[in-house]
Amino acid sequence: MNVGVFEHGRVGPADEGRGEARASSKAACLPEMDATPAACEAPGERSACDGEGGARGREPRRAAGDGIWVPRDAPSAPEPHDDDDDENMLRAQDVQSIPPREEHSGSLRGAAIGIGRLFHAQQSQPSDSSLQAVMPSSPSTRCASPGETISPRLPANQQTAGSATAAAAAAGCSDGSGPGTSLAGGLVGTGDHSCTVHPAALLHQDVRPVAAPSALAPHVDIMAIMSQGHVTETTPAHTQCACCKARVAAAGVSSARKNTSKAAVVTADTATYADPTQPSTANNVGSAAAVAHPSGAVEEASVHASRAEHAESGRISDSEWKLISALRDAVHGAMMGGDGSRQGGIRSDTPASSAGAGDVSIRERTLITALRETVDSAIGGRLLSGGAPATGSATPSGACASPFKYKNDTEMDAPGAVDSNAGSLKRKSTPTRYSVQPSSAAARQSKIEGPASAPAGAPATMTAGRSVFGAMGSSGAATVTTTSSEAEESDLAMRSAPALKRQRRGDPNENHQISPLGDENSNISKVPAWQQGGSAVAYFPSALDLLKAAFEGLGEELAIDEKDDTVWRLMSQLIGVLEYVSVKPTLIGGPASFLRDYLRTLLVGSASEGQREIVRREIVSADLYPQRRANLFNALPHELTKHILSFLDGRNMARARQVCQTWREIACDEEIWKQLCIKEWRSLAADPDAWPLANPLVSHEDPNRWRKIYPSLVTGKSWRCRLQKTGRFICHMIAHQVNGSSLGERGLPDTLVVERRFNILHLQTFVLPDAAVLYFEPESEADRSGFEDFIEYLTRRTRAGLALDEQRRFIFIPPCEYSKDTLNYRGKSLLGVVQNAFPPLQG
Amino acid sequence: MVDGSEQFVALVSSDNETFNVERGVANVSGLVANVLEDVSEEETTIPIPNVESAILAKVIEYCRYHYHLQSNPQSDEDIDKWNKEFVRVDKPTLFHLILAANYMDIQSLLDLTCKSVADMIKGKSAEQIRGEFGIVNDFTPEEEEEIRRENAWVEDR
Repeated sequence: MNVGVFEHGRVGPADEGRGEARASSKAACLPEMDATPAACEAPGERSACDGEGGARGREPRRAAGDGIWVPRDAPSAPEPHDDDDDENMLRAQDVQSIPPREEHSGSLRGAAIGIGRLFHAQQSQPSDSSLQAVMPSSPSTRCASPGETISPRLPANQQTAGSATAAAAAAGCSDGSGPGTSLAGGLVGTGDHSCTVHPAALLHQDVRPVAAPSALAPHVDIMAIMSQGHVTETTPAHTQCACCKARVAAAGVSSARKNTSKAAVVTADTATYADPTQPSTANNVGSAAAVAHPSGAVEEASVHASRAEHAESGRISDSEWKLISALRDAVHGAMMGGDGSRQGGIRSDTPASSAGAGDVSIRERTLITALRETVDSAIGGRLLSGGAPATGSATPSGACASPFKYKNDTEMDAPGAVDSNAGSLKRKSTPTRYSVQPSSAAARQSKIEGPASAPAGAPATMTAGRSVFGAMGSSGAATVTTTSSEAEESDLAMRSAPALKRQRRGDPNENHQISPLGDENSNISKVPAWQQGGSAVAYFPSALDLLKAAFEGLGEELAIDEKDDTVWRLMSQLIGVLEYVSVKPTLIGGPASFLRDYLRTLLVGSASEGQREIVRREIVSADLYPQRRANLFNALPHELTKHILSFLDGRNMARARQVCQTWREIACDEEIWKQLCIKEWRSLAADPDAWPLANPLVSHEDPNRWRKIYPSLVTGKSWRCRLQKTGRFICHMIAHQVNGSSLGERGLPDTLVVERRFNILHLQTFVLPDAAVLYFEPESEADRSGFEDFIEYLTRRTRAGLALDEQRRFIFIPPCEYSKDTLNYRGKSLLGVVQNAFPPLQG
Repeated sequence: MVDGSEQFVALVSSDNETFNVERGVANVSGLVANVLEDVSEEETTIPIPNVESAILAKVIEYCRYHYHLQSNPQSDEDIDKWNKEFVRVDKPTLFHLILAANYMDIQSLLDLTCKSVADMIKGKSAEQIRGEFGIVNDFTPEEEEEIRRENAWVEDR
């Protein structure tokens, strides 16, 4: 492996990478993080970023600060750039177009960082799809040529890998690694992905080469390198870049712990980087954006990292927390209307952004509100632990974001795509397409983020993008591949760029504290009440705890599996979406189709694997927001609904009670249940004494007696049979078994012939204790006279009837003392007993 | 009687579309039959203010078929088949048909359509039913739990 030595390069596009890095770090945020040196470096990074930031309007400043790690061994060949902005691009030295295979071999330049991350990712989540992407075996992984846009599908793996890489890399290098990294892999990890992700073509080129190698490179190699001390060397070189340092450190750590194979460790490392990264990100991104970045990075990291670890780590860093709050605020602000964006922590500096923020349609607002309420309510229920999050503690969001991926390839339209024109937001007729790919959650992140992070031009949007994706990624959301033309992507990037500036202002030092809120420049509205008091914070830790609990017993690697059908997973995804949308003026101002599609994807993804297809069908066929669709039954008067329900059988009627309050009321109607009961047991209406036989627990006085007794009627056994008396047909009867042992498969014969009679006084001795007890009723009114005549006949002669069927005896018992005292029936109908070969037949 | 000399009745939908229908066909509707009883022979225009033309056209189709069954009896299978085909419409239409059948007092159509809706409900879980008809789950978790408990028997077989 050439990886041994890394050089630091600068890449303009790296911003995104940083964002991811942060995210990853966030995700990773473990207690250990604090310990990591990377955090310390953060400030340095920032400053560096600032210095460079100015260079290009479009380009992210972060590039300046970030350096790309390039293996020294690797030949530094200038990259072919389509873009004019070479400066922004990775430097030729840094980036070399390496043949895919070669990349594998380890000629990683910037990739090194990425690799480190990958490493982490792999270690942590071997089972993940992301891991797969990382796998050297997947040729696709090696990034496509710079110019290529990542194809949605293919990239999935790659993306994933990339994301993983990115996560790893993200931490540090804004430039080489950064880009790749930031976009979750998109940029760094998988060359292709990154390309796709980054709206800006510039980034693509740079990123890809780096990413690809890293992705391909076996972790082991990296590890080895790291362990060898190369890392150390590298670090000094990049001193300025906090990110780089962080990475290196992380890499070192990871490698060191590699043996340990504890994902947790890795995660921690990642987290560490994140901190450093954050600062840099902050610089680049607007305040809100800054916040988002870390979270996104964290999420990614977390995703990549073993889920279990996250769960275990269970803590949210302040910065993450702040980020989250900022996002919430942003949503809040967006809902406020025109200035909402600002309040929300979103910068409206850019015309585009302001415009977007300005016009929040009522629809969007409703949607956002609903989402927020969901989250809030969820949080409300979780205020278990009042403690504020530990500073260096793991991020709850990370925890929330489960690494799971979506299996379905849902495609989401991002209506929000805006034209890059001079800051004026235009909705493109062709929306940017994000295809969500199941396994490559990370990839998606990277992609999405990519655009945002892209160059400086873009406002807060970028941040939002990152954060969202980060969240999504963390939550295990599907990977989004950007299919939109590069041009569009670049546009997005442009827009987003402006936002980045804001973040610079954030404290360089605050590794964990970079929150939009903290930023003096940012006009952040007051923190919503719900956010205050640490309640929200409390929520996350508790969530983590829950997750942890859920993880217990599972293998480390499994942690949260994509198969998991849990509220937590879905909730974390919802939070992610909320955060994402809240920071995206273009989304907020646009139609809700993006959200709808995404939520649909979430819903489908939230189901366990086995049920996913079913859920998908339901969701696809049904509207995601049924309340917005006319409830067809609302148009019907209750009587008609009742009429409809009256066509249901008892089981379906019972299910109908579960549908909604109205149906419950209608389906509780006793008349309906009475009819249903009578279908099962006609004489129940006329023979109250039969009730205790049917179900001793249901009182005949109970107002809901019919509904309550119904289950015992349908679950009880009954048979239809002919009653004959010595060859003469008497009637058709229904026999309900009310007690005693089962009659088994045979049940009752079709015809019962009463051949003998004996005195009812013998019943005490003849009837066996475990005999099956039957309640007879005439099948119809036509049978009633014959039936009653038969009872009358037995009563008059104080006889019990006896019918034979092979080894069984059927005894017919008219109302008598025995039936009252022993069988507890005081009515006037006929009872029966079925037992084996007793009494013995006489003469 | 179905013959050329039969009188026609004009049924006017809510959107003012007029349908000229044989009196016998129109009489399948209890509503129309009642009105016709009370009005003079010359009065042949009956407003059906609650029913849109698209739905009224369907209702008349139903009435016509079932009216002509009187003179041209068909097997139950054929009638079932026709009825099934008749209610193979989208859900909004089906619900409008229910309302129209109820309003126009056509019991057999009401039963047919309601049964058709009931068939859509059968065999579905509550969640599926909600999705099918756009019904919002307005239960509290406690209520839901209670009902679920009460319904435990439903899935036991």
